Amino acid sequence: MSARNRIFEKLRQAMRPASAEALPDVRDADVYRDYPSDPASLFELFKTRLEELRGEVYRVGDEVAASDKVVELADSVGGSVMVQPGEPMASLLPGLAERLCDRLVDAAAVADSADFARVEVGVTAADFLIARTGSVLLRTISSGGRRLSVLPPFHIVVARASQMVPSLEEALNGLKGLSPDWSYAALITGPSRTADIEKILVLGAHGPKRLAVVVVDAA
Amino acid sequence: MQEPRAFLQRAAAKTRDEEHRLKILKAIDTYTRVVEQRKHTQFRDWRQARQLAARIKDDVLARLPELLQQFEERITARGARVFWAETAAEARQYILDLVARRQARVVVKSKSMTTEEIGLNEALQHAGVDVWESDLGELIVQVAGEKPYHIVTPAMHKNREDVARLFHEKLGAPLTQDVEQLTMIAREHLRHAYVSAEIGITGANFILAEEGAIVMTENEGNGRLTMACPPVHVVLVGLEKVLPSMRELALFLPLLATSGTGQQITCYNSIVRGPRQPGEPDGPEEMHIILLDNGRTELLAQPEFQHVLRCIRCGACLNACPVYRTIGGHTYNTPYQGPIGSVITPHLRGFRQWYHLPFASSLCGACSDVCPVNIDLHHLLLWNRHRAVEREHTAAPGWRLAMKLWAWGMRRRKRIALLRPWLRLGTKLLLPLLPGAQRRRVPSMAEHSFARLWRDHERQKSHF
Repeated sequence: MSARNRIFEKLRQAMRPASAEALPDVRDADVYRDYPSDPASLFELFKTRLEELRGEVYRVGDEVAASDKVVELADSVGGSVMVQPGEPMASLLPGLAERLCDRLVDAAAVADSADFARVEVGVTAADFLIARTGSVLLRTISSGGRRLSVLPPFHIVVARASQMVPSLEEALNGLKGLSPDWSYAALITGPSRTADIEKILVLGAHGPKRLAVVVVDAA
Repeated sequence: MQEPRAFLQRAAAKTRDEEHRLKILKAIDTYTRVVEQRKHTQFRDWRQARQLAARIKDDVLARLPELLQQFEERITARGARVFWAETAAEARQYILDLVARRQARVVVKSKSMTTEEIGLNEALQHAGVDVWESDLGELIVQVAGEKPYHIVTPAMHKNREDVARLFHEKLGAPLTQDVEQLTMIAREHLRHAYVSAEIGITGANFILAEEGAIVMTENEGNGRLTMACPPVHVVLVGLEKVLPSMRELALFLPLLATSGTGQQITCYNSIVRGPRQPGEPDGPEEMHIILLDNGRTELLAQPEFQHVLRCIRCGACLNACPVYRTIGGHTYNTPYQGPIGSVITPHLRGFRQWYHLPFASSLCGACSDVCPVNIDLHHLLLWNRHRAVEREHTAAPGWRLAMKLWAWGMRRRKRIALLRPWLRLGTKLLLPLLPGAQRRRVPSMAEHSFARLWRDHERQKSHF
């Protein structure tokens, strides 16, 4: 008998009947005191929460302004920029490639993880913005893979205001409704941090030292 | 030396170490302040939330075969391999075989107590593999040649001076006591590891049955890098860590973060459903998930103990425990320390060597009070003591005889009166001989019993 079968045998022998009572259907709104009740306030709450964690939040009126903002942010650190190829970035950030010129690193040219060493800024889209926790939820196929959002020291997320949801529950429900061909999703709440030495907070432990979220208003 | 005896010696030494105590109290005071505040600001009713979490986990434990099978089917369908390990040795061997097949010379790890449980680092080093711990706290204890001090905060016992000296001596880093600079030294030191490692090894905080996924929670990003860069990703996880679906994360992620560190939610939570899929630009070619039993099914089979498998390894019971705070994490000499460790270790590793752990408790119940999944830890500690006595693994010679005499005496009021003078004399003579008695005030029995005092009192009253 294989280990698998032996374990299953032990599990089955150990089983006791589950409680007949159905699990209560509890929603985030019932559990969390800080669940945002007013849909109009979602952006403000998202901004407050993420800024508390020293993330940066910018709201821009349209795609052109989003491009401006990304260029401005990239300029603030200098170095090479890598943008997630294809849609939705092409339409979210029109003309970005021309404006960044030779600072733009072609994603196709960065195969090896070692090549990433020269990328200072990673620009990606996201699937959901979560107001209650100030989080960003992204999948590999919506954000240019596993590395682009974690290896470069500065991660810029560009998303539409319509992607904002009140709480984790809605984001996870939404994730179920999206195309399932992904192997990896990350729920990101602020720049990388540690407090392993004397409980003192330090940003940029291994992941990005800076996280900026650019929220585009226009539909 | 026998483990119980060695435990007492380590405990005595740590208890006297004032510097150690100050470091730990400082860290835990900070923790407690933030956590208590967060429970209140985030949850409408933290106690209700933890009861719900306990209900969900109990439901999972009653459906484990079905849920694990669902997980296995779904993640295998996307190209991951699932390996069932009955023992620590089987899990180690699977990883060693994988290392040999991939001809791996460098392995990068993110923090995982389950790998501590199976002694993975030692096995890999023995096989000539370079193992890099990537979590800052884990790196610190690895460089120091020590074991993790705490399941969530492995380097809680090191202050910045200690870390500065370690990084200077062992990593050749410039001497600095700036915590930010020390963190950056670790960052630069490990960049190379992610890129050069052939295998990345992580633990997992949750297994999702419906989505066929594992979930890993962290703050630093080292786990994400470990899952993103190397061509092979290995996950070692206890088979009890199942949740029915992604939906439950909406409760469990904030609950774990609040109890673990006082955060609303940790910085990074990764949901992983397999190796790189067609259409994805990167990710590992291979993903292996090792589902570890190693005594968990035995815990499940015992009605008194099965609730302990609700545990989400947040570390709250360690921080709350007055014994842990006094004797420190290393005294336990186990991968899981504090109350949770003293409950599960004798079952996972055998009572013969580990029966003493449940006795290292004041049974005050602080652990049960802070547990986010409502495990009745202090009663389980009591059950373990019962087990230890039943199997005759008790500490002092003559203990059973003394207990029998005690039980006989306590059943009748008259017997107590009979034994009393002897007890008084005995404690007066014997207590000062106990280890550590010189350093504390030895309690003495009152001259007269309460019954006698009461009688005298009543008699006096009747005189008026």
